[in-house]
Amino acid sequence: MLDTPFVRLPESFPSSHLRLAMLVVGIVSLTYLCVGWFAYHAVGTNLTQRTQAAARLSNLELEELSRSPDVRTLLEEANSRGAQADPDDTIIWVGDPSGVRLAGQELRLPGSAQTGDYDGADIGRDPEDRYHVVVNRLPNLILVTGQSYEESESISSFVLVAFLIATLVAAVLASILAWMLAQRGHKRIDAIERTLRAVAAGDLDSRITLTKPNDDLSQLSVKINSALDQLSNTVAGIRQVSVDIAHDLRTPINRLGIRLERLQSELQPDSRLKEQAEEIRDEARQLTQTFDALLRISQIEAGARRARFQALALPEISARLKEAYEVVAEEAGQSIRFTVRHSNNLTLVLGDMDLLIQLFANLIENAICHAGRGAQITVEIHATENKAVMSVADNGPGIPEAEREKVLGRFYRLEKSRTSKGNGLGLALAHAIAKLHNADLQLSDCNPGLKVSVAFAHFQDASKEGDA
Amino acid sequence: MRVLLVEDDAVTREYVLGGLREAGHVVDEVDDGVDGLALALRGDYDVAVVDRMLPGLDGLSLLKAMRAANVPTPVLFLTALGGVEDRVEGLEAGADDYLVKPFAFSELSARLGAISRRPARTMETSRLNVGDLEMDLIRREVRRAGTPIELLNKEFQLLEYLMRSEGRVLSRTMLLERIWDFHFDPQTTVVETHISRLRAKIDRPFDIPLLHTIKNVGYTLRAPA
Repeated sequence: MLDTPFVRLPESFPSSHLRLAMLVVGIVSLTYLCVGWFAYHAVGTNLTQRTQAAARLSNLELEELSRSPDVRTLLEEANSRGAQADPDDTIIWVGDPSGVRLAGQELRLPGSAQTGDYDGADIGRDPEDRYHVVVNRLPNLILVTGQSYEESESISSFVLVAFLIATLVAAVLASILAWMLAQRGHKRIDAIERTLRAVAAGDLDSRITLTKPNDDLSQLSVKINSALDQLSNTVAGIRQVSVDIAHDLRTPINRLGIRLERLQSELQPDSRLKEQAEEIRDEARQLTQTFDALLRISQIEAGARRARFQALALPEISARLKEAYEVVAEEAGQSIRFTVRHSNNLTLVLGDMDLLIQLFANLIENAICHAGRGAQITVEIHATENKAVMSVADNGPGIPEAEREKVLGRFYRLEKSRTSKGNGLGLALAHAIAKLHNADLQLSDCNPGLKVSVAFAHFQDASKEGDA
Repeated sequence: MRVLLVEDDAVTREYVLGGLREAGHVVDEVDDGVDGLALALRGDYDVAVVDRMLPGLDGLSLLKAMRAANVPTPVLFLTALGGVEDRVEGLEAGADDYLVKPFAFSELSARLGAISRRPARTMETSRLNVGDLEMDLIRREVRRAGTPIELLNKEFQLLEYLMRSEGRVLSRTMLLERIWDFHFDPQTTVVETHISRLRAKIDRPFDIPLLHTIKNVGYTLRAPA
């Protein structure tokens, strides 16, 4: 009921949180890159226009000066500006219509040159730069001004680099944030999973701790918690009912026994009634035993005992049973042999010592009671790759195949053993204990005889399953 | 012996009370946990019999409160809960023994005898004697009238328990719990078979029997009067 196995996804499988985080990082990076690209172009265009405007403005100033009556005003201003300016940045040149320089800087400009962009190498300037040159042909003068694009290009590329760095920083920050968020989500899902495993392992009081943000995971956790409350209430209810039954029935049975004992003590020792009273007391004892066995099966099936499970060596269990039953079998004219085929570390299981002792005691007693005089009983422990197996076999009459499943149920008894001792609950109890241990109890034919094997997971596997 | 009896079921209480008084013990009886604790805290009882489920204060809480107040009175729990878990819980809380209802008075009486005199029993000793039967615990040797007797491991443990409890009756379930650590009722004759083998070794070759069967109760080992 509670032991549904959990399927664990492989660790490399990206969680929904991780995928979302990767998407966020991608979008942030792409947005930054686009904005950067537009900024680069906008800044570039703007700066180009400014450079061209500066060249035009400078030319208009010269043209203004050329209107003064004395041409020397223009030539002096041109020389002075030309000398002050860096020839790699700024071009100032004044010539006559035939192309002879009258003032300004040196310039190698083709005679037919028009306003436009030129490489530095073509006009005798810095060969790595491009220039915007304005050629203004007046009737008696040619005014040439120009401006290098160097500054605007370096600003544009600075903008571009700045945006690239910003994109990188944003991407790294977004990744870190996304990773942290993903981790948090993952941790919360892990916490939910741990809680469910703990509940499955029998710790019904375990609940998911609710964390701050009231998001979908919190909502889910609240719903899981309320489902778990419901479950533990139901289980507690079942337990309460069995405790109530136990209390309400045991006390009257106790009174019955007490009254019988009193009655017996008041009877004459040689009275025939005394004998009958003794028989009634035996019946009452049998009633109690059956009742105890039933109650014990329900308690075991409720699964609460798993909390006390610990590492147990099967050979230790068989050694203890040997000390109890060897002489009992001998006395019943049978022989019993205990065989351990594998060492302790291969036959270690996770379980409850008292219950496992009872399980195998039941199986051995079953064999002693039903296999008959002269029978050979074999208790064997061996290990396979996945399982530690302890079996009890006899060479008695056995159980017909059709009835093997049924004998594990409560109160089922074979026709021929109806008259013999026992309450028909021994195998049912053994079966319930095996189930509590996630062990596989199998009945098989020994040709002749019955073999009951109980296969447990190795301790390492069982405890791993319990921790995870 | 002064006995405190805390039990809410009137029939069980009268039954235990009658049995204990008949056996010559002085008994104080109450039917709820709060009164039970008040009496228990006076601390001058040799043993207390406490029901697990009581009105007012349940048996487990009563026991914990007693132990918290350093009252060392040995406690035997009576319970209608038969689970092993309940037994472990009771023993962990400091109970000295545990008896599941329904029970026979003789069983209760045997167990009370065992726990009330426990302090004297735990005295360290290396030799035990009952009549002409001697046990050397260090050499793990047993002799009767000077004749060495070979015992198997469980037979030795059984005899040791009987000798340490000389003169007192040990019930079948007490032996199962102490010697085999079995907390269920076997369908076969585990105790009877071992007792009969032990008897064959320590009594049969000699004139006077030491090991006696008390019908419907258990066994006792005692020296001839």
